[in-house]
Amino acid sequence: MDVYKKKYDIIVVGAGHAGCEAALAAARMGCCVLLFAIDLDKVASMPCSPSIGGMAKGQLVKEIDALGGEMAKITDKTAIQYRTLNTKKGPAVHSSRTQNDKIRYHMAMKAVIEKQPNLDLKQAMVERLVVEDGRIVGVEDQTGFGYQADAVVLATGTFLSGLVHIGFNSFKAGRAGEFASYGLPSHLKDLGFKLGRMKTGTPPRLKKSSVDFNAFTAHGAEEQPVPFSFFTEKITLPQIPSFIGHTNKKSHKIIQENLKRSALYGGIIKGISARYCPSFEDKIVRFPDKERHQVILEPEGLDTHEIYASGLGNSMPMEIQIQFVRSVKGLESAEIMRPAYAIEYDYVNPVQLKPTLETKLISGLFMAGQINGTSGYEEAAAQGIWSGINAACKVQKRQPFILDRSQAYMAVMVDDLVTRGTREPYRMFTSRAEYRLMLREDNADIRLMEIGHEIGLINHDALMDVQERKKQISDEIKRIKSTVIKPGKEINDYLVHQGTTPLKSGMYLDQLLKRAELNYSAVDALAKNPDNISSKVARQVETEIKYEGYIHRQLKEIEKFKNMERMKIPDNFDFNRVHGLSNELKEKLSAVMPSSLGQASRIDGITPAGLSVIMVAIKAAERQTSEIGSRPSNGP
Amino acid sequence: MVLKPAIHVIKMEYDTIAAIATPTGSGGIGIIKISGKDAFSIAEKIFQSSHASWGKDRSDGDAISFPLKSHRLYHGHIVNPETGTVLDEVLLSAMKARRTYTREDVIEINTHSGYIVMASILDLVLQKGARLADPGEFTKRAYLSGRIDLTQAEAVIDIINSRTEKSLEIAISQIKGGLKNRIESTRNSLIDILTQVEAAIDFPEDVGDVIDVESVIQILDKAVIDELSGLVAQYENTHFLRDGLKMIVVGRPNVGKSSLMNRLIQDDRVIVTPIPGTTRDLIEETLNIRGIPVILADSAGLHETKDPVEVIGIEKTKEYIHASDLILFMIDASNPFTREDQIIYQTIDEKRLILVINKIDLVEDDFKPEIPEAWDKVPSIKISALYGNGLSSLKDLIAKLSIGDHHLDVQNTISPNLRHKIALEKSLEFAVSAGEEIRKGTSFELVAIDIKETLDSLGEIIGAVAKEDVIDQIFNRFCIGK
Repeated sequence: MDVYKKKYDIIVVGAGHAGCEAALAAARMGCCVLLFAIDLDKVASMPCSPSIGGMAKGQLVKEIDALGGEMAKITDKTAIQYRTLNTKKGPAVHSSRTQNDKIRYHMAMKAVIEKQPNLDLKQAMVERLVVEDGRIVGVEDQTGFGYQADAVVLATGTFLSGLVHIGFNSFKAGRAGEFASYGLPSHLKDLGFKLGRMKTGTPPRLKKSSVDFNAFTAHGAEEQPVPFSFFTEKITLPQIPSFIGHTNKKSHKIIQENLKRSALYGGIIKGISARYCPSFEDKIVRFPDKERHQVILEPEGLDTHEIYASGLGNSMPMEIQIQFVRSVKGLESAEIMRPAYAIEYDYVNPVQLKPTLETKLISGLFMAGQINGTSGYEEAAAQGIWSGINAACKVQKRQPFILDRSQAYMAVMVDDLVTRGTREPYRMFTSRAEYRLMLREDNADIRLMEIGHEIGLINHDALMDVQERKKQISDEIKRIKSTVIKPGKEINDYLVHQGTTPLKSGMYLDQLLKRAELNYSAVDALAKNPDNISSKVARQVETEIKYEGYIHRQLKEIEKFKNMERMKIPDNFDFNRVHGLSNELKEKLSAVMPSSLGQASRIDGITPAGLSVIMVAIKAAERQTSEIGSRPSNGP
Repeated sequence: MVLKPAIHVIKMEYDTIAAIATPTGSGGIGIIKISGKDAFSIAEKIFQSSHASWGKDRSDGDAISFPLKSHRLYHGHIVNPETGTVLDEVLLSAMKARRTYTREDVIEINTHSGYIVMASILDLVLQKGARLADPGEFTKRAYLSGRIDLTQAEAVIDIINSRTEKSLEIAISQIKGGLKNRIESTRNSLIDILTQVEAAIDFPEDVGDVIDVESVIQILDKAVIDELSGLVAQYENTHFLRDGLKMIVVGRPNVGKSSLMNRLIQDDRVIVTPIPGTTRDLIEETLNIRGIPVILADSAGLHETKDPVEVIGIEKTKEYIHASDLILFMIDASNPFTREDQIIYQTIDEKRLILVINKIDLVEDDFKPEIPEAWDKVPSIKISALYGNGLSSLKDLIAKLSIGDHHLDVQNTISPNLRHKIALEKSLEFAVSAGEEIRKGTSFELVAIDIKETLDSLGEIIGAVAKEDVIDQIFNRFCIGK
């Protein structure tokens, strides 16, 4: 085998949302990185919805940003519509979402990668991993040419044994129109990995000029968009709307009558699909009583005429797709530019990974994104930065980077994946996070930027900025809690005007701020802080005080949780030798190899008695080690 | 949504645990054991040293100062600090870490009382901040703290396992049938609410970002809060099936109380719990009457007296009356109704009563006692304690009154135990709070916290860990996704 002379620290295979973040993080941490894409014109492409963020996903993007990742910045550079979801609810569940120009997104990310020192971007399809003594040492491309590295991150998306379905027409493709990789998955099986099969899909793209937009309601862009990234100062692209319409009985009848011709219901597809992202066939079968379903027409960019027809995803043959699309009011003469399709692909069950996303089987081999059974650009990017940082830490012999469930959504996701695995494509939901109240979009910088700085991905200025903000927040909370407002005509008139009850006796400002009718600025007006309080600080102060009771409860829960996480299980602990565990549990525990009692407690089927038994066994193992060569000190 | 996993069930070393450490139902002595950092402070809240009360008598008023000293044995009383009620006279041993079984601070309360008193002391200890210990947990702590030798590790695990299995077996038998079904259906109602709440949070664009508040409040009030309140009440109503029906015989002197007691004891005694040489005046006997465990206490009488010793006895009796589930109020058929009887009746007329008309062997068969009209509604029975006439009917009546009122089927009754009650009360508290917050218009993600806690507490009873329930429910009910 011929080998490229240049030796890399880290090779990243796949330049999608996971691969790009992994490569950038590792290169910025000082590693020499090589990033492979099968097609350089598809770097950071958006093969499905031209959109970033959404519920829980917005939180992930802000976390990536706070750790020094790229997604939020590129999103701001290319966003053509901003929305904040759930504004009727509290700040913990506000999420941002954008529509993006997908060509601009691809180009902006590619430009950042090309400019990044220490990072080479190359086009090749990786076919094999080179493993020596259980350690990864490099990869080999489809021509048999080798590249050397100390660590490899696989971020291969839907490309492993990718199979696209349109009706009963199936063809091998990583995405429609792109090569799939069949060599690598069979090689992974040979290496001992267990692979599963999943299914996803994408709706048709329509030609803008063939759509009658009068039949749709414009879904406008927010007038004062708030940037995704903490570092973005200005939003530059023009903001344009999406359009909402509905399917009807006729559309449903077309699908119903042709179910047998669908890849999904005709028995062609074996992979497991996500319930939150149903093909239209699923909607008809599972919710037969629903008379209409939403269709959202989303622009794919400023320059292109392609329109993403969200809600019309299906796996029907072309002629049915045409009938189906044209049954929708306003789409009677729509031209389909790209058909909807379903795709099946291999994934590696993520219980085969450590919490760093390194495989247990091969030292130095990491995996991120859809290969781990997830779905979504944001989920992929979060795993990308997580694995990139950890690959760099491994090469640089630094402590691994692991956040816990109380610190970040991305940690909830990684912990879920490596502890419980997944059978359907895993998407982030806010309800997956036990400590949802603490994991807000608006405090992602406060939660994570200092950690990002420690890693080396956040610069000094940003660190100073966030530390100053933290100090201002705590000072302002102190001030609010120690300022008393005395009743008086002027004060009470003001309170009544604000729609709240007047004062009878003196009251602390924080008590007033806890009233539903009053916000920070309404309360601050009663006793102005002489210093200028920024809106970012005000928002944190308001949230901390308004939700103090609930936050306090969550903090107590977190304290308990952390105690369990601190009880470490040694790396090579042999669960099979633990007396008193059922065989089923021994098997599960040996597969997951939890690193703490906390992680063990989240494995399916574990019982309190099982945990007690493990606790005792760990102690026994510890004492056995410490008693060797040391005098028994405090026996009973 | 993720409910707390098993993590909340396995408890940490930082909290304080308590349990009745002696097997129930046998032996004349019982120990309540408390271990953990709050053991001493809890004991100090509920224990009044005899030494301390002498201090009061000596006119300086203040109790002799605590804290309790380590490795000392104290004589005194367990007193409920809120009500001032004396629960029992006890010996209390105080042991500071680390020279203890668990190597934590340990308090042991030695009582000479039956299970009921021990259970109420334990209840008090739990109210003051301890948590009911898991099976084998004292031993586990002893092991983890290094108190027990390495070679004993397997033995410890066996203890944990066997006790857990045993308690699980007991728990399952306790929660079979009614209770489990009712808790599961309450949980389903909560999951239904949570499904709506979480769907509105995570999928505002698919299902709408508001929920039908009226219907949620209705489910919460009817299917959750009313139901949980009912179950807590059920505990109060049926606790005698586990803890024994507390029954006392009262009446003026020489009315025949002792004869009746002796009769019942001869027939049905299960265990003898004599109280040797203590100042307690009430003798408790555990009987089995028609399958119901009955704790029968003799009373010192309720007559007017100035004798200080008797006064104490009467006070004791009054306390006992207050705590009892059923009172046998005895009058003498052969003697006319007296003012003394009337006074006694006034002391007890708010409790559940059986009027026992004794000594019918001395009167005509068709004898009708001249009793006040108000007593007519009291169920009554004629007996001769001396010869045993009417005793069988009395037992039937006791059984009927204790069970019949609640329409209970003893075999399949819904009878939450103390552990259940604690969890039920906790979940009720969270459910009520959730209801208040919803009415106030509090944002759903906060309401969700209360609802999850309600679910978690209920899960502790039936051992359910509803992990993906809600996410699955959302996808079953709502058409999510573009």
